[in-house]
Amino acid sequence: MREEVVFKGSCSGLRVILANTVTYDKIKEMLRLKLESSRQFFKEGTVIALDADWLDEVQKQEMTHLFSEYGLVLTQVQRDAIKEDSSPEKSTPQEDMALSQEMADEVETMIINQNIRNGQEVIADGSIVINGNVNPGGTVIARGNIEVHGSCRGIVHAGAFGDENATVTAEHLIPIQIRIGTLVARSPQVNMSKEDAPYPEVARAKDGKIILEAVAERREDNE
Amino acid sequence: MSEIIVVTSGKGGVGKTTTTANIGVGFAKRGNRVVLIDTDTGLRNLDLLLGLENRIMYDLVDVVTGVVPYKKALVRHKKYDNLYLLPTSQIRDKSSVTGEQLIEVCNKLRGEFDYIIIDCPAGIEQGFQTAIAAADLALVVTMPEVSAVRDADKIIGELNRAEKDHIKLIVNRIRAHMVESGDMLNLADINDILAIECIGQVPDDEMVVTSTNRGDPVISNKKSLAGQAYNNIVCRLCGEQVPFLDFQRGMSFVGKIKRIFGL
Repeated sequence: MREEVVFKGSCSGLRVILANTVTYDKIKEMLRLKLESSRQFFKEGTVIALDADWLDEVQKQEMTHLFSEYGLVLTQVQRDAIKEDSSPEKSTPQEDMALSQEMADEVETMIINQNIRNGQEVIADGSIVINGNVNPGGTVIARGNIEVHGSCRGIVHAGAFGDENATVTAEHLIPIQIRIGTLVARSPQVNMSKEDAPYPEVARAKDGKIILEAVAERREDNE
Repeated sequence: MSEIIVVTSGKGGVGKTTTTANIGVGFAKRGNRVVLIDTDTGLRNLDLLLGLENRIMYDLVDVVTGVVPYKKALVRHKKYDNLYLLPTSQIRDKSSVTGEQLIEVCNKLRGEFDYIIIDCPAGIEQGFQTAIAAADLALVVTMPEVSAVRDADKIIGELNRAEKDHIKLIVNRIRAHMVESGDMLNLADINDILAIECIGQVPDDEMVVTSTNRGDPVISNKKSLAGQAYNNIVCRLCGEQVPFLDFQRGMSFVGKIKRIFGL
């Protein structure tokens, strides 16, 4: 009998493979049983890569949640295919600069072409580019940088594993909270409007504080 | 071919039931055969808004459990001959009807009606999942208030997850002077956050309350601004291009001057 849920170990670490022969709900149920029975087996904080292209983003996030309930960290299997649908804006020099260099070398950028709505959460092992809005109640967490091509009103956490060189960029940067590394900054007022941040801004850590600066100005500084 | 529309919002009290009743009457007045299904089992209100409470014999739960055929449970409106209500039970709870059962009932109704409008309960639990199961189009009702917009956003996310991609927005209970003074969210910000097509902006109108108590939806009151707004929504749902109402009509002179100077 073919197993729908398979854990595999390799030189690059642990990997869980989910077959799309049964429904997502079934998979979830099976996975929960499996994790429940192997509570003792996996050490807390074990990183496992998810190999299931057929899941959509939300389902992948649910998987991440499920694993985190058992103290396990789920990452995405990196594939070259993701690179292809990176947006053209990404290659402008200005934006490349925004990517923390070491991050860019190591992990791929997750690109999301949808709005992150209230109650939705995105977690990535690298940087995240969102072509859409991050709404209040939505959360974006990245090991690297976060770039929002739209309005950013939710909670954004860049450098989530302690990298204080990470930045958050958005066309309208009016989030409820910005976290960079271990620093937290909260919005000065509730319900900010788009007009409160009419131009693109970047948030970065400076002297133990999070500061916001206009993206255009920064470019001049560097030239 | 008939269309199944679900009216939903997440948050309670934004006007789902009022919207359902008014749109239903609007479609019926244009000569369509319309059935309104109340899925807010245990907290039914739609019958009250239509003034049909005293005519209910059977309900949705009786239909899905096979006690009576659906025709017996339909209540015809006293004023509009081609408007029907399929009420739900006041005694049972949300778990009494499943999505599959509602789809089955809707499939039977499809042949006989042009529009099937489902009034969704508040929340994102089973009642919501049941109500949206059969829908071709979802109307998300919100109001210019932080919590209502927040919940509408969540609902849109849930609808997307259920693969209901045909979603339209109605902003209800707008108070022009409060939006103007910045005490209510402005409509541009709401549209920016929710990022779905807006097909209606309905002002807050006292006549909605009086007509609710009288059991005759406000859409039939020509003097009411809210009634006009609902009428426009029905027109837009029928594919007509109608300009949005100008709420500044009721605004003070000073307010208008301020607006002109962008203050």
